[in-house]
Amino acid sequence: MQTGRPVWITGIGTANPLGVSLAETARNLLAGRPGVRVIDRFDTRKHNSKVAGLVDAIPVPSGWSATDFAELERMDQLATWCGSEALRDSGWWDKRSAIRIGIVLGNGGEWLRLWEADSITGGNRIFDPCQDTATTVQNLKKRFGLSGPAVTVAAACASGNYALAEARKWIQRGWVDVCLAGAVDLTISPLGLASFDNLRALSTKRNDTPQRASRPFDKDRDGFVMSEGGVLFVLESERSARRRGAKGYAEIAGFGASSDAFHLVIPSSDPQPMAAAMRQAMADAGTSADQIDYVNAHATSTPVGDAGESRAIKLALGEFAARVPVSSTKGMTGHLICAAAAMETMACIAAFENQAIPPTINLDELDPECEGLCHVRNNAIQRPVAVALNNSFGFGGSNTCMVLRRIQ
Amino acid sequence: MEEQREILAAAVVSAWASVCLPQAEIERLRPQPGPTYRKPLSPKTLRFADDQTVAGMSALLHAIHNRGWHDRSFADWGVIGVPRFLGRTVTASNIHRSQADPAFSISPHIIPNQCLHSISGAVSVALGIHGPNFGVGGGPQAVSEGLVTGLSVVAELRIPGLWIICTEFDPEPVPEPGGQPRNAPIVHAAAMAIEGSASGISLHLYRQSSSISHAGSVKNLAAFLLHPKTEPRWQCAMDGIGVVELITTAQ
Repeated sequence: MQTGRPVWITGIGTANPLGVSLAETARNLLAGRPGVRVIDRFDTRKHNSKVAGLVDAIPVPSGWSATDFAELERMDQLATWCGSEALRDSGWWDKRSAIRIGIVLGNGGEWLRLWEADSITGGNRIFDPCQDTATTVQNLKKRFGLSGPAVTVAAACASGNYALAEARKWIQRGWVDVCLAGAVDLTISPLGLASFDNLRALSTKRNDTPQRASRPFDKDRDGFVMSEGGVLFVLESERSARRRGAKGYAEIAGFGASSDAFHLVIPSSDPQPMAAAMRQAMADAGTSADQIDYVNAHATSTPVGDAGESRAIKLALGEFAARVPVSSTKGMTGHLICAAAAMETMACIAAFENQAIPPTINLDELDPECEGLCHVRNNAIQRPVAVALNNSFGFGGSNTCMVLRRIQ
Repeated sequence: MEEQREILAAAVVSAWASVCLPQAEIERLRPQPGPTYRKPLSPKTLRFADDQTVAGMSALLHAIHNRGWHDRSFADWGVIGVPRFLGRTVTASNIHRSQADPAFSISPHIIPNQCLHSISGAVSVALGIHGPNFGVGGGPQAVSEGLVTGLSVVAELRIPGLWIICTEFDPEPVPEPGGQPRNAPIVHAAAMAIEGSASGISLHLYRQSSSISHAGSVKNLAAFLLHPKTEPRWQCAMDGIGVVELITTAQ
C-alpha cells in the first residue's frame, strides 16, 4: 500500500460552453463572459425553459479524420476529444501503451441519453437490448488501447468529484500508474430538458435574456440553466510528475463525501451533511479554514440550494466564511449536470494559473439568505490563490467537496 | 500449484442476500419489498423508483433481516448502487409519449429515479445513510466495476461499512413502444455489507494474469450468495487489474 502519496493533475482536456481548452475557458471565466444562449438544436416551443449552455461542435482530435470522428456517437466524441487532449497535454499520449493507465469517468445517464438520441435518428436500440454492448468508458479504454481498469461512477452533479477521488486512490494504492478522470454529460435533449423542467428546477423567467438567466445567490434567481460538456484530467503521483519534469496544474489534496439521507431531489434544510463533506475534505488535505483561498460553490441558481449551501459554508468555515472568497461559476457556464464538478475543478485551476478568482455573474442583489459570505460579485478579483475548495452536491442527497492545492 | 497472486485489497462480506423476481411481481413488492427494518418504508420511498431499485431494496432488507441487524444503525456507512441498463422500460414509455407531447408528458422522475445514482440515493434515504452514496457501472461490466470500487472505498477505512447493491435484468426487458415488456424479464439483485474486518465471506482483489475473462453477472453472483456453502468460490475478472474473488470461510 502506498496511501497518502500526493497526486497531481498533469493534463487537461475539455469541451464546454466557454471553450475547448483550459486557456480559452479561463479567459472567459475571468472575464465574466457567459456561455448561455437560446437552444436552437430542437424545437423548444412547448418547453418552459428555452436556454442552455451548448457545445456546438466537438473538435476533431489530432490524428483522426473528420469523417471517422463524425461516425462516433456524440458522447464517444466528447470523451475521445477530452481524453486525448488531456493525455497529449500531460505528455503521456505517445507513451500510453507503455504504462498502466486507468479511467474513472463520471457519467450518470448515459443509457437514457443514448436511447433517446438513437430514437431521434430513427434507431431502435431501446427495443433491442442486444445493441447495448459497452459503456462510454469501456469504449474509450478500447479506443485508446489503455491497459488499466475503467469504471463509470455517478452521483448526479457530484459525479466528477467522485471520479477524481477514486482515481486518486487508485494511484495512491499503485493499482495504476496514471489515471484519466473527470466527467462528461450531454443532457440537453428534448427528454432531458422536459424532465428537469417538469421537476421545476430550471430557470424560466429569462428566456429572452439567456445570459442573465443563471444567477447564483441573487435574490431574483429562479432555477438553474442546463449546460453540457466534459472535462477529463490526467492524474499521476507527484513523484512520477517530478521525475519526468511534467507541469503540475494542481494537487488533489483532499476529498470529503456525505449524504443528506433526506430526499432524492430536495436538499436537506440541515446544513450539517454538506458541512461534514467540507470538513472531511479539509481534514484529508491536512488544511484548515484559515488556509482556504477560494471556495468554488456548487450554487446552481435554485432558491433552495444556494441558500442551503450558504449555511453549510458558514458552518464549515466558521469565522473565516466572511473572509474566504466564494463564487459560483455556473452563472457563466450553466449547470453541466454530471460534468459540473469536473468543470469547476478546472475553474479552480484557472484561479491557480491566473492568481485570480472568477466571479459569480448576474449577482445584482444578494439574497439575504446567502449573506455572510465573501462573494466575488460580477468581476474577477486578482489575489493569491493556493488552496481551493470545490463543492459539488447531487440528486440523491450526495454531497462532495474536493480540496485542490496549487503546485508551487 | 496455485498461480502467484498479489492481494491488492481485501474485505469481508458480513451480511448478504439475493433475490430473483419476475418483473411482473415488482409492483406488488413496491410498498415494502422485504422484511421491515426499524419501521415500515414510507409509501413514497419507492413510489417512482425503477424496478431494479425495488429489487435492490428487497435484497438489502433480506440481508439485514438474515443477519439480525434490525436495530443496527447504518448512519455512518456508505452505499454504492451497481445497476445495469437502468430505466429501459420507463425511458421507452417517455420517448413514446414525447412524440405526441415533447414537454409536459415527460416524467419529472426520470433523472432522480432512472440514472446511475438512483439506487444508492434511494437506499441512503431509506436507511438513513449519511456516508458516501454513488452509483457505479451501469453497463455490461457493472459487477466487476462495482466490487472493485467497493473495495477501494472500504480500504480507506473512513467508514465502518459499505452496502453494495448490484442489480440487473436477465433477460433484459424488450419493451413495446409504450414501455410494457413483450417478454418476461427477470430482475436479479444482490446486496452485500462490506466491512474491513468481520466474520463472513472473504472478498479479495488480486493482481493476476488470469485465464478468467468474464466480468461477472448479478445473476451468477446472486446464485452464489443464495448457497455460498455449496459453491465455496465466486470469481470475476476486472480487466486492467486482475480478479475479484469471494471465498466462503469457516465462521
